[in-house]
Amino acid sequence: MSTTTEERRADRMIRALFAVAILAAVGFSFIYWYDDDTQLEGAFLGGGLVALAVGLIVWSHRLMPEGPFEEEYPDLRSPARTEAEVLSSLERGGVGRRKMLIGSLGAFGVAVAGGVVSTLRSMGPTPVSLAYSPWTRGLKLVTSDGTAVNASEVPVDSIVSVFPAGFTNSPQAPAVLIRLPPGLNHPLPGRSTWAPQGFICYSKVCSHAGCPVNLYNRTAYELQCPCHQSTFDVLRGARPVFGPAGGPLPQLPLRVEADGTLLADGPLSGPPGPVFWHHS
Amino acid sequence: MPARTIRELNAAIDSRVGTQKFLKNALDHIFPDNWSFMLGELAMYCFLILVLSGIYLTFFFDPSDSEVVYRGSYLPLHGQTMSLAYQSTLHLSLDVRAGLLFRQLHHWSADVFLAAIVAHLCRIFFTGAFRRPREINWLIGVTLLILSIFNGFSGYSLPGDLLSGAGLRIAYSIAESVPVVGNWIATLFVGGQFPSDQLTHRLYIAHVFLVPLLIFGLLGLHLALIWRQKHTQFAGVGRSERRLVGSQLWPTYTARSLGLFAGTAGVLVLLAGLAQINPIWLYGPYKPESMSSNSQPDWYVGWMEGALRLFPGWRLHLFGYTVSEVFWPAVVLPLATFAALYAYPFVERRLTNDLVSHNLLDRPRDRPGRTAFGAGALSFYMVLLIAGAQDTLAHILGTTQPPVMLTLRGMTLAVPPLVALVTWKVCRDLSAAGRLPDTEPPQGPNDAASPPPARYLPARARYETADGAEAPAPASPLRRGGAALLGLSGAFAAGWFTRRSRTARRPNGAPGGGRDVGRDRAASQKRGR
Repeated sequence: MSTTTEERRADRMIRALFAVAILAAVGFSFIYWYDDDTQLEGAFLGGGLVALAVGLIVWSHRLMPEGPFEEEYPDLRSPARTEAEVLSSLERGGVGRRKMLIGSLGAFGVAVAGGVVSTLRSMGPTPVSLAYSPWTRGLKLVTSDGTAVNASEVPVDSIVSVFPAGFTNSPQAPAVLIRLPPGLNHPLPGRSTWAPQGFICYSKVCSHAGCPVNLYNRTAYELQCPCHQSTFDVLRGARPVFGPAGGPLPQLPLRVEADGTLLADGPLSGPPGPVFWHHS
Repeated sequence: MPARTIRELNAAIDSRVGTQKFLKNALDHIFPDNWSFMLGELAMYCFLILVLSGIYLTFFFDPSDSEVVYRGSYLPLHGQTMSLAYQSTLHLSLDVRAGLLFRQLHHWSADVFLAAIVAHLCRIFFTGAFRRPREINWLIGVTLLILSIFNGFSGYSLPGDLLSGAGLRIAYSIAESVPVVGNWIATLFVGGQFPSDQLTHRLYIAHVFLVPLLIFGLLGLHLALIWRQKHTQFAGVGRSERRLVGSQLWPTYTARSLGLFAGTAGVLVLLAGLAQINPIWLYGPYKPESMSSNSQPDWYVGWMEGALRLFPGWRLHLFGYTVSEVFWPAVVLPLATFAALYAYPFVERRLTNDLVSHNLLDRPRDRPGRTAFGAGALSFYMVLLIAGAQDTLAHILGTTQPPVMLTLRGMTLAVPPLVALVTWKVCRDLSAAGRLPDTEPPQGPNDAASPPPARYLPARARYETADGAEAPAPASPLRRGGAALLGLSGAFAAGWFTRRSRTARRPNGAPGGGRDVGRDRAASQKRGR
């Protein structure tokens, strides 16, 4: 087959590459059976495939006809006569003239499609109000494993994720409890009693896109959502100070019992999470 | 003469089916040679690898939201409550032989698949390959892009780890934000309130069956149309609107294409083995109250993520109803983007009044308007993509987030027109340089039979040799291989740099709280089983 020196050299080179590919593939099997090391498996199988690729491409360039070959682009538009024949075939039996029949067939199609689409209703229950929140007056604040939070266990400047007792699994429930140093809070009008002993609590569901507001900057007293960096001023009713959120985090009024138990002193100041069409 | 078995097999099939005419036509089919024509093929091979690796993953993955307490081999997560989906992904990654290799291969392939599609889209756009008669294939291609993004996102959402759960929570919020019917859309999609026990199951059937089936069908149609209409080509010696010049399908093009397949698979397997991606065991299972900083989606959703981060918190209150600030960047922007993509060929046709068929491609410089528009639009989405990692960027730059965000906001407005203007000017100058009369050689005899359309003559002339009859020496295989490798590694590099880097680092501004699971736990990639 190989005639010229150049072709013989190409042939040798491709054979060497294919040999590398075969050895690497065998090596992959060996590693798989012997040790199952992800890195070595990838290196051997991938390396073998790359050698195969180079071999194939060298083959195509050195030993295969390179052309240039040419051909005509097809005339896509059919001759007028063929088109006329197709049109007359379509009209067989006067199908196109029976407008009423075609119309009712179309109406049937629409009706069936509408019926089928309406069964998508079964995909889920009737939506509940997005304003739902399990927080109500008198519910204990607990951690994710259900243990009650006690005021004596929360030092100043610390932050705890809290839930209403009995609702630790509700996605609308998570809230953050922060203990502020005394005298820093600037309560909004009507919320002066909501943060006793520096304990302040906001919904943890971001008012932007619903991620948990999980980062707390304790020097600036700001909560930040790690998803889109909406940042809320803890000292001023969690109003947004940076990022894409268009509204504050709802606040939970708190009460501290004599034994240090923390309770919700009412519902959240608004619906938790992102706003929606029926949001008031 | 081929071997006897081949001859006999060929005769046996032909005498029953009658294949020779088709085969002769197919084997002689001609494809033009240009590295940029391989980008679509690269995407196709990524899809093939996705299907193959994905089938392997289905043997081990359990698409269930049922809760279990983990008692497997990965000690840092012992005793944690998690979904079966997450548990089976842990098992697949850490206990199944070669499981991690296939999972990472699948993830890398998805990232490179989308990168190849976008590169292919750019090639088609900037060379005007979408013009008549190929508008249908443009529409199919845009649909394939949308389906692929959706399937990428649904796959990313399956394992039930912290990041995928948060991604779904955001998707749910986006659905909620649609005016009037948002709550209905979100509820029906999820099958109740988020997180429902049906969501992973639904995503799974969409991810492994519905969407791949659609992609498969549309891909077939895409290829059939290329076959029927034949591939476009750049102008050159002997090439015209009527005559296509290139390599034959058999054997040259077949070997080259198989080489591309092997090369794609090879690089992806190397990445799968050597470059860690989406180490879900470090993220921990999804919990509605947990999230870590530096969290980002896969790169192809990054532009939407960036839009969500940059768009100001404008809430619209209308007659007692509210439109969320999420609606504009996350619903309107993607819809407008894809609507613009679908409409582009028809808008351009209207604007340029270009009604004839084209088989010769434009050089981008010869169409300054289109090229400037495309470059400007691309730069807009690039800024958004960068903004999708603005917290990480601020961290890298050692600054706080506000200046980074404000700069990026400004850039979304300032960069696109600037890029468009510069592109337009550069194109005009390059194109004018190619049109100087003294650089225009005489017409080659090859073109005498079929004169090209007059408006593209100056641009074509530069490619032709003085004596026209002789083909230019083909670029050396080394150079071509180099160019192909460069293109391929460029695509991979794009994937590499935009790869999710969310091994938890110290968040900005030294935040305290956070109950993230497994964030600070040392874990290494599968060793010492």
